[in-house]
Amino acid sequence: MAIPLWLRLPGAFVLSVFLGMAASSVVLVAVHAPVLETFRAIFDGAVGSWSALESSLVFAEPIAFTGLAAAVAFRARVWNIGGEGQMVMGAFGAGLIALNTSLPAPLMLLAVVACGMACAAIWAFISAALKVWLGVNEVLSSLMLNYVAILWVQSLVYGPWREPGGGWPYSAYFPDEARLPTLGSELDICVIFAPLIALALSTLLRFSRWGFEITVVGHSHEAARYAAISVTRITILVMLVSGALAGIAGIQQVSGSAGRLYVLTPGYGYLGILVSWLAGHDPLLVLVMAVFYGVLMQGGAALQIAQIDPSLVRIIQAAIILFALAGLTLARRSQSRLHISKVDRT
Amino acid sequence: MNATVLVSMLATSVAAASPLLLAALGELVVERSGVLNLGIEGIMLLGALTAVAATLGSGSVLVGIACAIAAGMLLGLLFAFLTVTIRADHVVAGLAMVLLGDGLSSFAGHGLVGIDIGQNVPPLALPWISDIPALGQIFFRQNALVYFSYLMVAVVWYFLYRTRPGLALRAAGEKPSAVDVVGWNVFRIRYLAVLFGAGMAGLAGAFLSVAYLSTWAEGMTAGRGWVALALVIFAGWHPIKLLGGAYLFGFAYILIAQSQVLGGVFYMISTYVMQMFPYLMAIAVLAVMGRRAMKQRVGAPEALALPYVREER
Repeated sequence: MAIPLWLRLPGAFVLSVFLGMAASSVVLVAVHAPVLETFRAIFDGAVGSWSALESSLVFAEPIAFTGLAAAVAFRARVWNIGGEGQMVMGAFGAGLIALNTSLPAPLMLLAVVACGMACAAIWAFISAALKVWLGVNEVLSSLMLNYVAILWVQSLVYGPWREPGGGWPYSAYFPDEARLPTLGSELDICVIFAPLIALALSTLLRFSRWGFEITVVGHSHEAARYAAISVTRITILVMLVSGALAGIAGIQQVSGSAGRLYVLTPGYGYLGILVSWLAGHDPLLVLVMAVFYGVLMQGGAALQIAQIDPSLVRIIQAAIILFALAGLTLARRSQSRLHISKVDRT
Repeated sequence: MNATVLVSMLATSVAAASPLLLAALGELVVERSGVLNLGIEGIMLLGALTAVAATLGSGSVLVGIACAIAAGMLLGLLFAFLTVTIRADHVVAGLAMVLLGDGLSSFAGHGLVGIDIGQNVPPLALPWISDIPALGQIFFRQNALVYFSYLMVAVVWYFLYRTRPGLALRAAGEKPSAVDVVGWNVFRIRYLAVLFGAGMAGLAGAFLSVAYLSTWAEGMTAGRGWVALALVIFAGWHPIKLLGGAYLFGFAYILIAQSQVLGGVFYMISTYVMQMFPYLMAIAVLAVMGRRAMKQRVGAPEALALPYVREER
């Protein structure tokens, strides 16, 4: 075929996005929604100006971290579906320090971040431990723990941690020392840390011994055993790192622009999984896909402002994702057939 | 708590368990054929909405339920195309189904939130057996969909263990190449299994919206689709054990709903903590099952979530 190899995956992705847009246009026409105005509102509101792009990045921030979390786990074929719950526990951990202690300025923020990441990692560790020692499928245990984590934070913000005198399920505001430094109006420092962490992960996965071991475990448990790599150790390690990364998303949500603990907007954890898959579990591509998804989400918010039904964007999102899923699956297969036939079987 | 209260609680538990049972039975057949459909939650949501919309449109609950099954199967067809034909990753395709079902239902259901459909599936006391003390009240004064769920447990069991197509389906989940060799079509088996499972999930959604609550609310399945997935594992992929698991969870749901009424020790516990109970129970159950599975080697179908590729046979 004439299409060069390096162009196949990005080409398939772009083509899938256009096909998804075409398919969703059909749906929009069917429900008598204005097609051109809808897409224009999404475009203008999400990438059309600097401030629009900034708003898209705000959505992309948590997805980048949950996406990185998923990428690390999925590379070892550890199916951590619990990014959502780990994110929520990260937010809880941040709140635990911010609302209950008073520390001087630099220490406070460090403690908030450390405690958030630790709580999230512990939450992920539960699933890892259940998997390696009790044989519990991690897809289901991490999923169930999502609901438990959300209910736990709900019980706090509707109960003991609710802002005194406040009528809404929010905690009191965090002290300034516990807030993330901001850049611009809504963005926080995480927008700089996300690429740094992605770069570090990418390097570690490619060049370090851990990265190699993770890859081996991801390809074949049998091969790992022959190479004297402990599948148990790698599973636990990967889940701890994955959980901690998802935890950053939660810390960012509460210590960033919100500045207090609340019941986090649901979905970022699951979106991380999708984004990671779209990126082929490559940390740097995860960032690209997170920004892409952030644009889609900000597009939904923009529709609301343009007084078009914002849930239209969910149809568009679903269509694009489905086409991308099909398109990338086919493109990756044709690529791996040329590279290494039959190796990439599960 | 006296006996009458307990009996009525158990009767409502059976009703609360039925959508779980229907969805999980469908998923059990799907997984037995070697496909993992994580999209149950999304399919249930679409089914729940379709049932309400079609009931309002046609004036008949029966039409509503039929449309819900059809809508579920439509999503199922898409899922089967992605996983069986294109061989996309089952986990990711399933999550995409959840997004799609959630997105479609909340988009199309905007105008229907909170509208009472004005009818439901009326309870139907079966002659003779509904008069059996306690048992009759618990099991045989339910609506027709609950009876259908009993029937389906038997049907699925008989199909899987006593018929040739059932054997072929189980084999497709264990060693698809063997099924192919003897001349059965693995792809057709998996397509049909996914369609059946999605139809059952659509029906389970319809149960929630038109038989249980008579209304539509965004995200009304509230995680039941995921619990159904856990139940399949809990049951060790066996339909009869599934029955017990579903009722256990149904009882847990009713206990939560009634906790404030029951008073006493239940009143002390925050409702949020109570609501964690089914999920924690599912994990505990999986842990117990997991240990047993490791000892006795009764586990998931061997080829679960593995795409079948003919030329690699």
